Amino acid sequence: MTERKSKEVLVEENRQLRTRVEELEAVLHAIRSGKVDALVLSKPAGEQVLPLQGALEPYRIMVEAMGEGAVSLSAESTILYCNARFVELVRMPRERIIGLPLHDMIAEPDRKTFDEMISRGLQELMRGELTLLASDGMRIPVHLSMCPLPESDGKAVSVVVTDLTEVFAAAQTRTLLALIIESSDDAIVSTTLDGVVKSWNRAAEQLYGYTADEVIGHPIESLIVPPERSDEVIQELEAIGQGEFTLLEETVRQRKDGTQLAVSVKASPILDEAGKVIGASINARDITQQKRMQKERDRATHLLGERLKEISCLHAISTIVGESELSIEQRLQRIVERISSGFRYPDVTCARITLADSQYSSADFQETAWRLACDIEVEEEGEEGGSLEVFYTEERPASDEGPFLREERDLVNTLGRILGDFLRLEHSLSQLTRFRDLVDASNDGVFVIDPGSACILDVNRQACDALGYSRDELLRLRVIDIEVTLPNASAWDEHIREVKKGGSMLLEGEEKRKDGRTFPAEVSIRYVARNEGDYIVAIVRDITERKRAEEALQESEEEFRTLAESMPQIVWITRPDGWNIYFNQQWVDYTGLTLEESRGHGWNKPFHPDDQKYAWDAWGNATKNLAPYSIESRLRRADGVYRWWLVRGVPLTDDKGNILKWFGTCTDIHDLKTAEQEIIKTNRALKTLSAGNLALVQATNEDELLQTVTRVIVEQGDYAQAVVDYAEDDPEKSITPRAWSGYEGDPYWAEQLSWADTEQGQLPVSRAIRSGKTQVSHDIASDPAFEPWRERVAALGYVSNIALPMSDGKRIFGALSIYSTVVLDFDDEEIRLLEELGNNLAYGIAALRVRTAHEQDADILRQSLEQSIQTIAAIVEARDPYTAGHQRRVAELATAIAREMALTEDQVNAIYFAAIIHDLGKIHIPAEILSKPSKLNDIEFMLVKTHPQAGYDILKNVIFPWPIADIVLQHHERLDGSGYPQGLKGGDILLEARIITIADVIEAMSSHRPYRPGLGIESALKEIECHRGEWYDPKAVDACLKLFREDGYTLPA
Amino acid sequence: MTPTDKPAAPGRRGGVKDGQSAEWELRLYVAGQTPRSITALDNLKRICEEHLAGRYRVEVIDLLEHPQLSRDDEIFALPTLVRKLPEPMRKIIGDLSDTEKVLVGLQLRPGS
Repeated sequence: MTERKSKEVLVEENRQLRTRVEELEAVLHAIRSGKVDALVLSKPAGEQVLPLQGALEPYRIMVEAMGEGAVSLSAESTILYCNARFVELVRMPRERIIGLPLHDMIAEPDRKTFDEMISRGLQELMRGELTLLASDGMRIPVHLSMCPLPESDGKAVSVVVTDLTEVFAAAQTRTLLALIIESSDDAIVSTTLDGVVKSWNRAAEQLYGYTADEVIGHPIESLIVPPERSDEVIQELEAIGQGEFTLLEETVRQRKDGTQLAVSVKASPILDEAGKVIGASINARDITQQKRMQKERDRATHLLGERLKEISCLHAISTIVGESELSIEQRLQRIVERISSGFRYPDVTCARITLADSQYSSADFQETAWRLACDIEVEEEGEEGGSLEVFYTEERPASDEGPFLREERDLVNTLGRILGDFLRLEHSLSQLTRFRDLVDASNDGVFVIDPGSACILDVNRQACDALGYSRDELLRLRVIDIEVTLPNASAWDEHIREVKKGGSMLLEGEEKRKDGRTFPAEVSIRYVARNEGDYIVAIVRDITERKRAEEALQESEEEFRTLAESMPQIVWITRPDGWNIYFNQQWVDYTGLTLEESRGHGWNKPFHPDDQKYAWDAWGNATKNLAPYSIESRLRRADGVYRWWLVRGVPLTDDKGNILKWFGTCTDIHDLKTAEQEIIKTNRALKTLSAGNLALVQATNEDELLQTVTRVIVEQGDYAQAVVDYAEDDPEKSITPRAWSGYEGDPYWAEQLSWADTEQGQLPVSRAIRSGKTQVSHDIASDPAFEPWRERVAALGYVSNIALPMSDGKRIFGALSIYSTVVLDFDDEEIRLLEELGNNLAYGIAALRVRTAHEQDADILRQSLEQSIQTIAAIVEARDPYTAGHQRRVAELATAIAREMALTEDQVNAIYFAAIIHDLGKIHIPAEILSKPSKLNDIEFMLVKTHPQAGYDILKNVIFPWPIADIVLQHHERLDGSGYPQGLKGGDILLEARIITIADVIEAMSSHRPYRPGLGIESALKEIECHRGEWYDPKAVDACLKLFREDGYTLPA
Repeated sequence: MTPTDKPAAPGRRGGVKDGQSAEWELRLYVAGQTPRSITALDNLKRICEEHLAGRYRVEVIDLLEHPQLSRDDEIFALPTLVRKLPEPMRKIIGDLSDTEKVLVGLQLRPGS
């Protein structure tokens, strides 16, 4: 295709051109004929409308629009015309200016010069600088350019007045700047873009040792830049060439004498008036001193970090100690894993806890020569203590103690103490489980049953073995589940009614094992009524063997006799009237009576005197009603000792129901019976102990514990009085009653009571404290030791007294005394049980004391954590006096907001601690910037924005119970991602950080800053309200607004 | 239209109601409230009522206030009347006191 255009196109073009020409002609015509108001000028900066007035307007407009003043003068200097700029200059209305002599507007000293200028200016171009007086007296330096007006015949001049104020000011500024530069402490050097030195101030002379004359005109890098850093200068000048600022925070420059020095170098472009970069201004500052300070500061920060690590390690470990849902082993393992975090080099630190029978080591454990250890004092009799060891797996530089710090030695010792306290506490708790073993010792199955529900409450080991169930399985069953002879619950209820009447009963049952097999059993049931509720104790003995024998007995008389003789039990036969006709050999062997002596009613003789009537009555009842006969009675053995026997008899009747004979057996149930009594006692003791244990577990203070335990002894143990007395370490060796139950009123026994070996010190309690051994008085009435108190004690009905010493492992600190109103109470078994109780109580008291001490430790740790954080906060603020108290006020406001939002106390703590050090990172920002009394430039602001990251870097390795480092890192983030340093959004920012952000803004805006006064709380609140939901968490904003506007909250001073 | 009415821009006057399209769409560009601009507007209104009653819309634009609006129609001098519709665009410069010339310019009457 050629560029030839079609005819039509050309015609159209032609038409348009014609129109345009016509249009312009019309415009010109209109202008010429004075029909136009204004012209529209199109300029790059935009359209401009120029109003026209008359034919000369175009020129006039140009003059009016001039940036210089324009005046026409007559030969006498009378002003004929002036433009807008001149009006502006002399600040007088135009109508007043016209007609005045310009001469009068010239400052006095210049008037003569002016007159000369004007006289010559009528002929030729004249120029000069003069001072013009404005109407308000202002002196304006001006440049006058004067030339004759054409066609005026030398009678008028035109003058152009140029305002020199700004030029003068610029010159002055230049002088001023030069002065500042010259007097600056910083070395200020300007160069061309090629690095050739153009200026060199006095500080530069001092810093580098070159005089200005020596360097101006020479390339800068050949003078003061060490050769290995010449790239640095090339890059710097390149950046300057791009119009950028550069900052070398720390570099090295060389002096004339060849020595090197550390400097910070700031460079900024020098621009010409057109904005073009023509050189660099390079500002250097000696930072040798500053660097030393920085090192010192870094070291202090590091040390603080170490202390914090140790404290938080202790805090963490004391928290683990309290995690009672974990086993001791689990807790010790966790502790040993955690120890390394408190050390300077956690990555190469491992630890081991060695106890008498166990050992715990951290995962990476390795024994090396770099070892720090301490003992763990368990203080248990016969048990060795343990040790805590910490090793470095790799060599580290030598310090106070090998590679370890003195503080790390303290840490290890403290940990050893915490572990010792912990282990002693746990040990004393484990003592309490010993009691169960007693009941498990019985050969018969023992069941404790709830009479109402028939539920099995407790069983011993034998019961489990006999039935093939585990204990837990049995505790989920009811009696009727295992007792075949009890088809339903009502059969059980019938038994209960019966046993309640008689107190006890013996019956034969059939027990069903878990595997379905059954076995016959002799079941002794005893009903026990206690304050806390009734229960049934059932003792089940497997009688499979016996049954077999009895069955055989009935098969034949002869066989029966043979069998009867071979039986371990006593076998007897009587006539229906009770006249004995047969005893087997076992009777003879046991009672020592001959068969002759036993015949007839002679069998009654060995019965215990207390039991004879009861046995005879029961026999009479049985024979009358033809009911089976079954009694428990004491029978005298040949040696005179009474033992408990179960005597049973069944009538043998003929077809018509007439009694032919009574067949009977006597079974030695003495051991069983004793075991049963023991069980009842044991149960009493167990009840007492479990109530005591509950008291131990729940006790928060010693007196409460003692009060509860003495009450338990009286209520659960049915004793008359229980009292805990403490042995005082005073010269009188006095005894102070600390708690008692079963007696109301002042402790009468306290008078003159002493544990010294004097007349006053012979009571069981005194002797127990003195000797450390249990003391019993079975008969107070005849015991001379009670002489001083006899009447009062007798009035209370006390008959016997036991005193049990209490020891905390180091000394006997007191005794538990129990009084009974029963003669010969406190048999051996009971004493043993009560001793156990006394020991438990002593352990409990000791444990409570340890626990209290431990809680105090935890308190101290928490306080020191707080103090350390406060110290860090103080360090930050010391460097930035303008924000003194800022962190504290932010912390208080942030916690108030958090509370308003109903956060947990743990979150509130996290917020408090994070807020109190949220500006920690500012220690890395030069103090000059922090306290700069003007707005920060871009580079300075960029530096300030590094403080959240710097704070995070310091805190990240310190293990706090809260994510403090992350909160500090995020406290300048905004919901919409426009914050720094990470640009996190919405829910990615921790709630704690979002709250601190708001408190920070409120505090910062409402308080004074170096570069501006405080803006007031209301504008701060408006700021957060305005950006609610955009930058700031809406809920936290609402809470904050409510605090200030409704609750009357004010920022702390 | 009275002489006191300020021909401020952009303002609308004309024979059709706002929102309705007009057969004739005219723009008068002015430079403030000068006697000439007022005369121009008076003349324009008179001519329109005589020849275009009910079929026109006039928009007055003051370039002193909005100089950039001159760009649309390439305005060089003020006042200028621009016929936007019907096309093609026509311009008449001056105070529009020569009615014959205006009618020719607006092509309401054939030119010589």
